[in-house]
Amino acid sequence: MSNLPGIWGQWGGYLPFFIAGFLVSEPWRWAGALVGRNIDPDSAVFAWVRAVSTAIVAGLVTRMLVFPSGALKDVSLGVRGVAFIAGIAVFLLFRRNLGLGILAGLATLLAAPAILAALAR
Amino acid sequence: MGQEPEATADQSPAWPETATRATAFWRGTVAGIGLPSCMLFASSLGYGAFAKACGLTFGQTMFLPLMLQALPAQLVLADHATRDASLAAAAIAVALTAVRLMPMTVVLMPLLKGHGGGRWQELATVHFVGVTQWLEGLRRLPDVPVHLRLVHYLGIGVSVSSGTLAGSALGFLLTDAVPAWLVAALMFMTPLYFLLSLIETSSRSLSDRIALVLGVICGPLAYLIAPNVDLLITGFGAGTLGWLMGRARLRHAEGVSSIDLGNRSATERRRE
Repeated sequence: MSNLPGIWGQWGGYLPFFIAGFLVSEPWRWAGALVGRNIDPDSAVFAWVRAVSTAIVAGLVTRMLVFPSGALKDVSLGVRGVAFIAGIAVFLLFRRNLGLGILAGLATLLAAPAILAALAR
Repeated sequence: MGQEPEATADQSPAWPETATRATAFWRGTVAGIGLPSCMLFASSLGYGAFAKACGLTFGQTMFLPLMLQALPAQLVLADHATRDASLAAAAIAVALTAVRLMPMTVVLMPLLKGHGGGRWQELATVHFVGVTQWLEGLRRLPDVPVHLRLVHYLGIGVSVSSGTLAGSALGFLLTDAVPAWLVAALMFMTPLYFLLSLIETSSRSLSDRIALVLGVICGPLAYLIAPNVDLLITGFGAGTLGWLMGRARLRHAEGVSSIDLGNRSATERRRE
C-alpha cells in the first residue's frame, strides 16, 4: 500500500486518482472531439480556437522557462534565457532544423557556466 | 501519359497508395520514437522523482501518466495527494489544467476525421492529446492520406506515451542517481522543443504567429497574477488578441488590394 495520507491511500490507492484525475480531464478531450468534428476549418471560429491553443502552449513554454521546478532552478535566469534564444536563432538560421536548434540551446546552457567562469577570472 | 511530375510531387512519395492501417500505425510509432518521446522521457524523469518524493507507490506513479497523458495534471494530482487535499479540491485543480485540452483537440479534429470508423475510435484516440503529441500531429498529419491519419496519430500517441512511462519509471527508481546538471539540461529541452515546434506549426497563419508572441510575453505575467488559471488567461487573452490583430491585418490587406483594382467600388463596398 502507499504511504499517502487520508483518502489517497484508500480504495486500493487507484480509485481516488481515477476520480480526481481521469474523470475531470478526459471529458475536455471528448468535448473537443465532438465540437471539432463539425467545425469548418476555414471558419473564423476555428481560427480563433487555433490562436487560443497556440497562445496556451506559448504561455506554457515561458512559464516552464521563467518559473521552472526542480533542477533547472539552479541555472540562472540569464543563462536559461540566453540558451533559449541561441536555440531559436540556430533553428531559424538553419532552415528550421529542430534537432540543430535544440542542440544549440543545450550546448549554450551547458557551456555558459564555464564561459562565465573564464570571463570572471 | 506515363509521367506526370506534378501529380507525383503532390502525392507525397513517403505515402504510397498501397499503405495500410498497420503501416500508418507503425510509421506513427517510429515518428514518435525520435525527438518527441525523448522529450517526454526527459521531462518525465522529473515527474517520477517527484511522485516518489510525494509518497506514491510505483504503480500509482505509472497510473497517473497512463490515464492523464498530461504532465501538468500529473504533477498537480500527486501534489494534492501528498498534501492530503480533498478529492474535490484535487479534481478542480486537475480540471483547470485540463481545460486547455479542449481547444487543442478541436484544432486537431479536422485532421483526424475522415477515417471511416466509428466515433468511439475518435474519442479513444484523442486520449493522446497532450502538447507533444499534438504538435507532432499538426506537423505530420497533413502529409498522411486522410483515411490513415487517425491510426497514424494513435501510433504517435502510443510511442510518445511509452517514452513518458519509461521516463517516469526511471525517475522513480533512480531518484538521486541522475546528476543535477543532466536533469537541468533535460528539463530545459522541453520548452525549447515546444517553442520551435510551435514556430513551425504556426508559420502559415498570421493570427497564430501574433498569438505565439503575445502568449510568450503573457505567460509569466499571468502566472504571477493567477498561478492556477494562468494558461487559461494567457490562451484566452493572447489568443483572442492575436486572432483579432491577424484578422484586422488581413482585412486591411484585402482592402488595399481591392483599392488597386478599382478605387470607388472598393470604398463603397467598405461603407456597406
